[in-house]
Amino acid sequence: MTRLRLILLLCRPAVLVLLAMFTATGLAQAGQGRSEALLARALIVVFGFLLFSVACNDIADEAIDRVNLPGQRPLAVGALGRTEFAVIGAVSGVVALGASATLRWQAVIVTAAGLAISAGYSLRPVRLADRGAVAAMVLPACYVGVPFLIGIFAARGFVRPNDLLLLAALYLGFIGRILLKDFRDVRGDALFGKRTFLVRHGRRWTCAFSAGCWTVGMVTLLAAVHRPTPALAIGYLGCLAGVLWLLGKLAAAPGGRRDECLISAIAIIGRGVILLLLAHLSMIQAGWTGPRYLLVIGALAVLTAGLAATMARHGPITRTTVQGLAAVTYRGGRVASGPGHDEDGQPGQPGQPGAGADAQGRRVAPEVRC
Amino acid sequence: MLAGMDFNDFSQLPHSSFTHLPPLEPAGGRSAWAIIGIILAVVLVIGGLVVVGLMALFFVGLSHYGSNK
Repeated sequence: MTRLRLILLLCRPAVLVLLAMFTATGLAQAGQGRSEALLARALIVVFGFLLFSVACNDIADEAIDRVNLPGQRPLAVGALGRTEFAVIGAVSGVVALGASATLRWQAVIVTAAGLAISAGYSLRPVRLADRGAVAAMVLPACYVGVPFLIGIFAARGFVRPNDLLLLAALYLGFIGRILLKDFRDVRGDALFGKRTFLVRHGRRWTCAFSAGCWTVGMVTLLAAVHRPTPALAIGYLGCLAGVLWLLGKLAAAPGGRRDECLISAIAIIGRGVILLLLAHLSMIQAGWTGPRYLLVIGALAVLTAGLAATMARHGPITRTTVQGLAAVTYRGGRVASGPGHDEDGQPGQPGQPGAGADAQGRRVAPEVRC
Repeated sequence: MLAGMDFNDFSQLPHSSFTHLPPLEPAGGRSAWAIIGIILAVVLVIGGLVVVGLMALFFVGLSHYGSNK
């Protein structure tokens, strides 16, 4: 049961919901926004793809995660082994490809390309993750392009120019957000020679580039969206203003905990933008116009602003965690108790990251981040 | 300053002892937004926009946790 929970946590719920939103948006763009059955089939593909990507990334970044996310990744903690991760990744990839085959051949091509790019992003010898700006370009292609196109191809077998313009807008906006993820990881990235945009160019330029991507992305989004309305435009301009203000604060070097609050608030606005788009497309198809439309768009915009403001002011609440997983560390089907074991099943060194023990050799119960 | 303090009673310890812990958060603001979000999601689902309603529900639920995506 513990393993099952760990596998579920591997999907990282926030990313899972984000990719589900992109998939639903793709479906809505293709005119099938109210088809729950099609969405469910498309989501199987996307979730398999995500699990494959996460498994590759966690295997490749095990050492870095011990520095950047101590006690927060199942592999770095030692709650799951590399072999198990490899099996999870392989099975997920096969499931994603198989499920995509039940949609259309175009979906199979998108899924196969996504899996290949995702593996190339994390694994050597390609390892795009170490290549600064290239990494910031490739990762959003996987996070945005694959689910959006799977959503489109679940509904129809071709893409229109307007679909690609909308995809470009979402892609640009996501680059602006993904650049900020490196703030959390900067210590380990610098330590292990991972040349991210932040490591190479610093805080101010990263925030400036992010602001540029956000601005171009939002303008493109308004140009690409089907039947835009003044209410949607006002909502999007408000979101953009909020993001630029938060980026200004972030550029002023506020420090670790404040960084997390501001970046999480920007991420909320980013998800809010996608939700507004999904609601707009779905309501247009459902014939929701007039007061009903205005009420929903207005409520979603206010909700996004309120949640982002609360996050920026107070920060996140305690994370959802799986407690005590390292106190009972599984290795090859047997339970190894004690101060922790390394990859070979040998006792770990007290205080060593991932060893499951503190500096005094006592067992500790790390948290696994959702 | 620490003399006579019961160290088993956390409330008596100086606040600076807890700087490594998550900050205390006013629950009211978060609860209010959560309630608004849930009401909106329910309205959307009842109105027939099931997917949008569910996504709104997930959006509100996850917006209380830190995430950089």
